[in-house]
Amino acid sequence: MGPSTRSGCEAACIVGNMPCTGCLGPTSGILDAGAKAIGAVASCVDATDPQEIARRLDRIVDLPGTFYRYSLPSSLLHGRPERSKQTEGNV
Amino acid sequence: MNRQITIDPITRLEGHGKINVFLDDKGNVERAYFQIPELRGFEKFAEGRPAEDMPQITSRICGVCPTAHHMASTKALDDLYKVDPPSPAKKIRELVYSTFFVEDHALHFYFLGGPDFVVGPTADKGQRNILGVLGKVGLEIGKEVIGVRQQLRELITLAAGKVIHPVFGVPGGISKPLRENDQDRFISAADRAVKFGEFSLQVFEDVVLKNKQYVEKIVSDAYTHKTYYMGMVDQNNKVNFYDGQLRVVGPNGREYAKFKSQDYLQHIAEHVEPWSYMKFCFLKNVGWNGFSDGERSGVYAVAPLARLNAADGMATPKAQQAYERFYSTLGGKPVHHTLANHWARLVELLYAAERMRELAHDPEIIDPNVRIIPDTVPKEGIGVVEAPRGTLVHHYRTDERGVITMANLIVATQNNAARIAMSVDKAARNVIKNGQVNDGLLNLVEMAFRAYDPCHGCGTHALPGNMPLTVTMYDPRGNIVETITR
Repeated sequence: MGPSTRSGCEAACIVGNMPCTGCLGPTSGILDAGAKAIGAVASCVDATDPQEIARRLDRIVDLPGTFYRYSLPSSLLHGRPERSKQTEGNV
Repeated sequence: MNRQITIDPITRLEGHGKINVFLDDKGNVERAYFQIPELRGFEKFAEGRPAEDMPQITSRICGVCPTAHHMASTKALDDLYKVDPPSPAKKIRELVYSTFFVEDHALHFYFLGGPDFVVGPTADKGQRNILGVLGKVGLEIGKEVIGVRQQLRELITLAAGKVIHPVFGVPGGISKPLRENDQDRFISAADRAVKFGEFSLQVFEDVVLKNKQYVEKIVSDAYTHKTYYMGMVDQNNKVNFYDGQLRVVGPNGREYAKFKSQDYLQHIAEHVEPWSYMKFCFLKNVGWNGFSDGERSGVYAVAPLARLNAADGMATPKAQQAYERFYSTLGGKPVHHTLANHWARLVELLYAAERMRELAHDPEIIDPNVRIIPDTVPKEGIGVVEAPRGTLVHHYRTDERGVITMANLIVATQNNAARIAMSVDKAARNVIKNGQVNDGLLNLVEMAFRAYDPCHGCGTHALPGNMPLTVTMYDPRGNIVETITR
């Protein structure tokens, strides 16, 4: 989550050889940190067939819990993770 | 006329709590309730999360003992994926865990529990805190307390990524090995920690044991309950915090049960009372027999005193000496005096420091082979450690993708909850007489729970159905429009 969330932790988890979960929250220059991170992950999916894209993204379990773990209430989802299921296909 | 005395909030513990004391016509205690009015709900919102996130999620249960939750959770993941971590990984985990135990026990003795003894049980409440302790023991010693904890916590950051919510536990091992100069830092810190442990026992000796009034208080009936005790032991029945079997001894001190941590459900059950969010654990095979002690009551205790009672000794030489002195002074095993927990905690602090030193010198500690990648389909896993406050169980079930479908946590303070409630009730009955109450007497009641070092942030992690709730709606002028009560 590092590229779309605030630093200040001196990359403690990365230095610990573990992934960043974005615990310091969104940066001020971004409208929605979770959507940005989802976009970053989605851009790595090497496929053009919509079904194939959906199949690969389905392997990420618990989208809101992963991308909005610390920032759901202030996100565009406004604390309503159900809506993420509707938007999942459009990511 | 009946009277009610409420201590709210109670202080120098982790989490929140309050004590309600009900007095009869003569002003004597009818019953004192130790109530936990907070709610967390971790077991519920763990559902649907990848199991690998659990060491990070559950460490948020507590800012004081996150390392304990992280470690129990990581061990539950080992069991979930049926993978046995390589020896260096286990040793580094235990090294970090021993480091954590020293700094956490030091936190309780000097900051939370210590003020009652070092400053005095009925001293002015403005003095009964860490600053009062520093005033008594002197600035140099105070600096050492803070300095040692700082150094140890920096080492936890070094090895575990973060100190407040560590991130190094993964199924099958840890996320990164230690380097050679890291090992040197652990060795020098461990030497300091051992000295600090010996010094802290000396402080206890000088301040508490040489004070006749304090010793009388510790061994008095007001702070005594003859219950069962549970703790983790190694293959020689010595105290172990990181791994081993759970052993239960009876009020007579003899072994009642010894079992693998995975079998905890066959031995431990939970009882619910309407006046607290805390669930009360008891020994299933003895049975719930109310808030009572003795062999026929399933009430048991965990944490330092219980661990010492449940084991045959300490695995390191200096701690073993301290252990022997503890029992010879207090009249042999088992010791039933709740306030003796403070002393037992310092015996454990010294053990943790010595264990830290042993592991820091182990050549395997800088071996880069620290993880085995699991390749099995997960289903169910149970991990148990001794948290500073007592036995901690993490139990998960998952679907075939490793997504949590059920999480059950039994935390230290729940194990202790029934005995704490009894201790507070008994202390209140003994110190509040004929309606006479003052701040010092109420602190003597609080001391009954404080000895256990309870953590209610951890203890109330469950979600017990519907929460009682009152919503009051006001109009803009502050008049009540409607009150809804669930």
